[in-house]
Order: sequence, then C-alpha cells, then structure tokens
Amino acid sequence: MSFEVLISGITTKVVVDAIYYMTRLIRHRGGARGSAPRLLVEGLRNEPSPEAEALARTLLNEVERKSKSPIEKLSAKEADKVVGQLEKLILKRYLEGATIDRERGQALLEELRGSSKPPRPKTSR
Amino acid sequence: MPDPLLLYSVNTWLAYMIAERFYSGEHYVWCTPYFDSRQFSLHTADVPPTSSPAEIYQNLFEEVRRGDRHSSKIKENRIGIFRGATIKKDQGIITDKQAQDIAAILDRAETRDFRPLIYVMPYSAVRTRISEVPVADRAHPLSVEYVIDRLPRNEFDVIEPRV
Repeated sequence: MSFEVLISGITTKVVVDAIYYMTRLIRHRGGARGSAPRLLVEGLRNEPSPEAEALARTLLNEVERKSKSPIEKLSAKEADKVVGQLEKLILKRYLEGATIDRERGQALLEELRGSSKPPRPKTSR
Repeated sequence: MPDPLLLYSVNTWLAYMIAERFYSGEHYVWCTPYFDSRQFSLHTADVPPTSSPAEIYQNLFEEVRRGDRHSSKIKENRIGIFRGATIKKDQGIITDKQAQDIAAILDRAETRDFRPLIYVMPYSAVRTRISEVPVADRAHPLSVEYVIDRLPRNEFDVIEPRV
C-alpha cells in the first residue's frame, strides 16, 4: 500500500507530525531497542500526538513490509529513499490547496542570504 | 553527572534564518553536553553518531561542500522546517501567508542554504528551558540529550567554522 493511501483522510497536522517523527525513528534506527522504538520526549510541548505516533508506526510497518526487514536493519540507501519519499509527501500535503509563489520564495531567500554574513549575535544588554 | 558547562547543537543556516525572520528569533534545538563524544571514554560520554554535534556537523558540511542534492540530512531538515511552520501556524505565531512564504523559501532553497551552524549555549542560562530526553527514549541508552523548543537568540552563540 502506498504512503498516499495510508495518509488519505488524515489531517495535515497529524500527517506532518507523523512524517517528522518517522524521520527521527529512521535516523536513530541503529540504536533501536527492539522492533518498536520510541523517541518521544515526555513533557515537551509539540511532541507528536498519539495519533501521529500511531500513523508513523503504520507507515513504518509499511516500510518494513516492503523492505522485508525490521527498521533497525534498513540499509542507508533504503533509509535515504524512504526519507526522500517522506519529503515529497510532506511538501504535497503542506501545499494542499495552496500555491507556491516561486518568485517571492526566491526574493525572500535572497533577502535572507544578504542579511546574514555572518549570523550576528544579539546580546542581552 | 555534574551540571555541564556548555551545551552544543548543530542546525542549518536556513533553519536558523527562518527562526530569526518568522519566529521572533526563537529557535528549536536538540543539544548535548558533548560536542565530540569521540574525545571521551565510553564511560563519560556516549553520544551516538546520529546525535553527536561533531559528526552531524562534519557529515552535513561535506554534503553541502559536495553539493549533494540527494542528502538525506538535508531532506530531514526540510521536513523539520515544514513541521515547525505547521506548529507555528497552528499556534498563531505565523499567518497562513507567512507559512506559504516559508514553503516558497524551501522550494527555492539550494544545498548551500543547508550549511551547518554550531550553536553553543551555557547550561546555566538555559537549564530552566531544557527538556531531558528520557533514558528509555534516547537514541542510545547512555547518551545525554536535551531539547529546547523556544531558545531565544541572546542565550546562545553561533559558530560557523571555515574548515
């Protein structure tokens, strides 16, 4: 089953949280403790919700099913491929119903580039 | 373990600039008390490569230097920035229009915009803001990791070494 099917009908916030959380699980897969690692920081505001965590697990199960191996055995190449798919997925969902103003994006980026050579520290005094 | 003197974090230039421009200079950081855990024995500092600022910096620096358009770390950073914008929009910190501006910036961003920056912060200044990653949830059971979700700019320094 494709990721797109698995996330259909789910709110953007939950999808975005789940994708973000999944990248954390994939990044730390080498230190995974068993087949169901958790990397949530209790008490931290804005950590993925239980719904997002559950969706991340569903997506992760799909990755494991397709690769025929548990997440901790996922090769770097496979992991990179999955992260690439997730990046495309989040962009698509984030922009649902909106359009990207590429010209404005370029102008803003140029403005940011021009304002930071080097990053200027702010002092408290 | 005694309180550390400093905490270290590695973030991208683009993430830094977006926080400065859109989030009133409040930054979201994962950090550790050890910049390079390879300098210490396993008994004093065991930070896995995925959480070690030194290794994150080196890997990202190399990927940016090579102009690696397929860098997984950069894709992860894009995902993180999108997620940050979603949260800030939900919280009313940024408007829909600003969230779209962030998406437009991400759409145009090049590999070089994801160059790494090192953040250094005194533990004593941020101790009330940190959330410690519980042992059971850390990337490695012996690692020490913290998260700060709203770190003001005047509480850390930014270093961009020219390697």
